[in-house]
Amino acid sequence: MNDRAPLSIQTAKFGLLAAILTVMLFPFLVMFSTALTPTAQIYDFPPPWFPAHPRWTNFLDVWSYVPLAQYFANSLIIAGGAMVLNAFAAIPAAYAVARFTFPGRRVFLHAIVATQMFSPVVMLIASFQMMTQLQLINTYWGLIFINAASSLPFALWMLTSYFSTVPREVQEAAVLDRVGPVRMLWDHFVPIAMPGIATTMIFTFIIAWNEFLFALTFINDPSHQPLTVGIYGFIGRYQIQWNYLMATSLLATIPVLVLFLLIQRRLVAGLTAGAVK
Amino acid sequence: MLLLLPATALAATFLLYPIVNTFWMSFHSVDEFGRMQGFTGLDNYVVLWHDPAFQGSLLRTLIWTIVTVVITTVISLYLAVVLNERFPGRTLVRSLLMLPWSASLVITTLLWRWLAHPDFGAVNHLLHSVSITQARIDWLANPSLSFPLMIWIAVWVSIPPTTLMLLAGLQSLLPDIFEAGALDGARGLRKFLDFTLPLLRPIFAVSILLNVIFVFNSFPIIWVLTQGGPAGATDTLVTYLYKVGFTYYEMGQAAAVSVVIFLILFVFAIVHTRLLWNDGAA
Amino acid sequence: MASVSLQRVRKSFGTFQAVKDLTLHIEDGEFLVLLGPSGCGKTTALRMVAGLETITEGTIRIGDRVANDLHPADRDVAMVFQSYALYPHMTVYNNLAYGLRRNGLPKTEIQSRVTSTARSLAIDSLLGRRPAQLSGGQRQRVALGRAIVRHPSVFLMDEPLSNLDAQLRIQTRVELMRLHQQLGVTTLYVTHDQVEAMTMGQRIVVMHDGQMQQVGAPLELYHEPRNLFVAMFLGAPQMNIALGQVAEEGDRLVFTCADFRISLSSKPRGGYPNRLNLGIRPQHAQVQAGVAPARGHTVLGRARVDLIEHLGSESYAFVTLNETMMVVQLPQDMRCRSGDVVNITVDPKFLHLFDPQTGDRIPLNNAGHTTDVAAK
Repeated sequence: MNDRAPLSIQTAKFGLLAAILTVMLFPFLVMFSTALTPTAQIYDFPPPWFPAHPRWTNFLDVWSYVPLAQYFANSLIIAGGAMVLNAFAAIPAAYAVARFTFPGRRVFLHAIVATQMFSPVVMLIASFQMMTQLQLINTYWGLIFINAASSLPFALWMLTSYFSTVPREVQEAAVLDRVGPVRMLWDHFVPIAMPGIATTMIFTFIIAWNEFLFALTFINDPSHQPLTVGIYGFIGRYQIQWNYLMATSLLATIPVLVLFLLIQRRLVAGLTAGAVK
Repeated sequence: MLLLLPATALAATFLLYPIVNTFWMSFHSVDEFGRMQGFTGLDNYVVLWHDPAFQGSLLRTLIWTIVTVVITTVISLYLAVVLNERFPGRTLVRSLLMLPWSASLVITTLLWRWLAHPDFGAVNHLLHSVSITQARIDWLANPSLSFPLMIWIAVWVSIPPTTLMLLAGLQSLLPDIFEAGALDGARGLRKFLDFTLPLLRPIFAVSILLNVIFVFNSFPIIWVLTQGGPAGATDTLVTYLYKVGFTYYEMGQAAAVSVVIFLILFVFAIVHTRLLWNDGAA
Repeated sequence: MASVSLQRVRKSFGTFQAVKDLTLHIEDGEFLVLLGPSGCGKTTALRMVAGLETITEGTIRIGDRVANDLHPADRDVAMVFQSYALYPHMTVYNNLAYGLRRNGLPKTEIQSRVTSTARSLAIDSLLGRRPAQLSGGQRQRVALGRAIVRHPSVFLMDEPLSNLDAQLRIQTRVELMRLHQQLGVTTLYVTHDQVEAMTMGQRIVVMHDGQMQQVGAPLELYHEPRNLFVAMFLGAPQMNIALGQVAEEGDRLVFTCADFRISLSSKPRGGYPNRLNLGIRPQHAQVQAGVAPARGHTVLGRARVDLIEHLGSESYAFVTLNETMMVVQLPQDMRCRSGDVVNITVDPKFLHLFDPQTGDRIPLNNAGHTTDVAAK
């Protein structure tokens, strides 16, 4: 279309974009620079923008400075467990909601949305009590359960919309093949909606990986702490080792970033599909 | 329906039960071990109502939420509109924009603590370098600085998902409606006001709702930055709740705070849905 | 009211040429149809006139102004989109009024135009509704109304009937033609439906692969197609084609192929290759009903009937003459079944010859037929 705006507006537009982008990304440059700073120079004044002698070995040192491997393992177990459990519960449920009408369906849906509003923080007290009674404090299972459950509304929202995109005709054709609901789900819906399912599962993993509040509350045994709590522990020490903190943070974030970039497009498609009803 | 069983079991146990229990607890006096001692009716709520710390937290939470969501939405809308056009490097920009969202809030907030360090932080260094000021600004000790900083961090973190969502919304708009509009004379700002914004309404609704819920309930940013201090000056309802429950062990009162949070959000969701959703959709 | 002129217009999307060197003049007040299969460039050409696509090369004039760099809203054209493109967030009234408001018309004028247009299209009772609440036919009228209310110099229509069901399509077609008679606005109409083109167009431009194949009045294109493409695209069922050889025998030209032999009623005007495609429309060939062929018809050969299609007003038989498959008319009073062996007759006056290499028709010395009309 002959809709090209004058050059001045174009420049202003992209200029502002560049400015915003700089502001958004600048902290990461500092993070990277600090991560490479040798310990002796963290408290140099005035602080250099980039260390004169970047110390790449910081990234190796952090593994012994804190039990980083343990933290990673814990995060992996908790997030992985939560992802699997969540999938196990959400996939059949979303399929049922997307494909069948049954009494109580609307109630179920509204209840799901309502629990989202309740977000973990609000139930923290009662959850803590319950975990104590069930003796799940300081265990992996405690966090796995709570993470799986608190991501459930979101997972249902996403999966229901992905399952709704499976053409009705596929289901009808399969019915003619005398396929029961479980087989239908496994043989037809899951393969077709697989990208959406993968996206949701990865996002559940990311949320659990980044989760802080419950981990902080439910676990005080260092051997079971995930990355978020472990990193938080940096500020408990006498003097904060900022360079190690930044290095650890980078290491903790990179896996997530990679996963994120994989799913970002489909993620938003699922989130917004519900809105364009 | 057997298919619903695992989900229902999981939700009932770990979501429904604690929620109901929270409501229940709020009407009781609860000892430090979590055992309920006796029905106290609305006593817990009354105590809260008169607690200046609660009042302060409530007010702060409202400001915190509204300001964050408004700024986030405006900036994200701008970004979404620009990213909707084709330009070289667009994919790269989009991917880079995801960075602030990918790190956990703990990491993000610690990063900003470092940036805001009065002596060695990049923010002060930057301000000094461009000669805006030479003062040693202690961002964290002063609540009138740390509170805006928190808001800024929340905005910084919320921009990527909101932008992504609004962008998806923009891309879902059919081009021929805009073409028809162009023929009718809608250009530039008019096009934006008469077409883009109204057509984006459903997406706005979703994004604002999700942002409000998320920001209102956000814990890590405030806790890691200032722990709600100094002396509760930057507490929001959520950090206040945490302190009441896990520092003072007043579980009953903490439960009451939880209920208040829920009620506020619940009312908001209803009002919001009524306003933005039903008006306009067929 | 204005004429529209395209001169050597070309449109490329990267390396793909959607429109190649199109030159066309549409008279003020004319109803011109751009006809062709999907991807032939007709919609692209229309959109260039509208200003919704940039022009790679060439000039487009609307009235006496060069329109190349004009914003769509400044060209004084109105468009009816295939999908209607109604504004979903506005009422029908506002859909109609929006363009007028943007053009600065006073409120009273807007109101009178909108209400009178709505009344003439019988949508005045719908003015308060939103597009989502309308049926397909109603939406189509709103789209039309939105174009009409602007009182533009040119109407551009992009397959406006394609989303309507069959009956509604026929009704609306007639209404569009009445509208054109009434308003007399220059109209550029795009379609892939040759029936629409034949019934509506004062002139038809057949396009294929970004190029104009032929332009002329409907009957001209029907009886004197310039090439095989045009011949096969117009007319249903499609023209029958057979490849064979041609030789002069005395003062006649005789076409021979593996399955039959027929004399043509006249000779080619100029030179011609010996291998040629012979074409005859089903309407000019039939199953011999009685003892003798119909008046003016010659027997082509014996064929086996494979299938019969009864359309009510006429019937067609799908036959196989030796190895050649053909579609021919079945006279109404004839009783016929698949499997029957019948005589196929043709009217030699309507036989066409096409060059198998270029597809061009070989013009014959037929009395009363005019030559192809090139684009002005």
